[in-house]
Amino acid sequence: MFIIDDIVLRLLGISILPFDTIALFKLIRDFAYKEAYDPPKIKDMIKENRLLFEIGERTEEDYKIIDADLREKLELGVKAREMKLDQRMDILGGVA
Amino acid sequence: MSKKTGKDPVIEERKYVYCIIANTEKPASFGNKGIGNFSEVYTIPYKGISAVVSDTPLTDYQSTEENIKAHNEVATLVMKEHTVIPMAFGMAFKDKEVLLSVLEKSYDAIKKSLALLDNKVELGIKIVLGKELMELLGEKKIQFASYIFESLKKKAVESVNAKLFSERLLLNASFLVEKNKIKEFSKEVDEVEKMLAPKIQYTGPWPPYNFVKIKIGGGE
Repeated sequence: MFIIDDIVLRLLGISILPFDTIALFKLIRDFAYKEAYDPPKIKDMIKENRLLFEIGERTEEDYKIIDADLREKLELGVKAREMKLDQRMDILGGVA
Repeated sequence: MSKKTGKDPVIEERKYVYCIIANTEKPASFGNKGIGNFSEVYTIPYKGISAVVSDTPLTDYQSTEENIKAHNEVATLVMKEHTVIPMAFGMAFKDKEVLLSVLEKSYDAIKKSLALLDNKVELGIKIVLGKELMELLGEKKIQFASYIFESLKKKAVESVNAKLFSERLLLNASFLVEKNKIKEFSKEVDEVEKMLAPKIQYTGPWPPYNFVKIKIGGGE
């Protein structure tokens, strides 16, 4: 069975609104993931959390909760980068 | 974790390095404060310099708060008696021979750095402002930060402006200061504090992590 998907249609120059909308949502989702799991950015947030705790603007309890959450995100972000989970192979060539 | 009582020569041959100091050929001990296993921290001398090490079965330490703290505590303790070249966190060498060969290769650079760092310490300053004030300052915050940095720089031998990792940070800098000028430097910090009543995190004295640029091979 041959399944026509949005990539094939787009290659043929055909634009179908629902497919385009899905593609747009995928783009937004990927962008949000990249933002939320960007290791350098998370490292900065870990430092900021520590700083705010040390100058007395954050309680120890809050600091620990936020720190644990950020470190978990960092681990995921690093793993995703190592496994290149943010890249999708386009079977027609190249890495998207 | 329990204190080490005995030593297994096979698994404990790896040397975790905290810092390098100027020293006589005589070995010294800094107590049982070794990273990970509370093993003895001691020196391995080489031609008038010494590596401050502890024995460890591991080569790779996770950069957890506990481990980084253990690393820094040793370097800070040693700094009380010696001029130190602090090592980056996680430098473990396969054995004494490998470490000695690295010391030999980096010998000249180490001697020069020790002379440069003699009787000096690192002091850190982070200036934090409220969100509203940061917004109010707008573009002027760069000029303001630069003014503060320059005024502190005058009291230091060297200075480094580090990354602003938070939107609340106005300044994140480190200064290499002569030990006998720490009070003078601290007075300048007090003056800064009077300006906008910012929250200042003034830390140190630290081993001069931000002022040593010797690259020596680590790991195996």
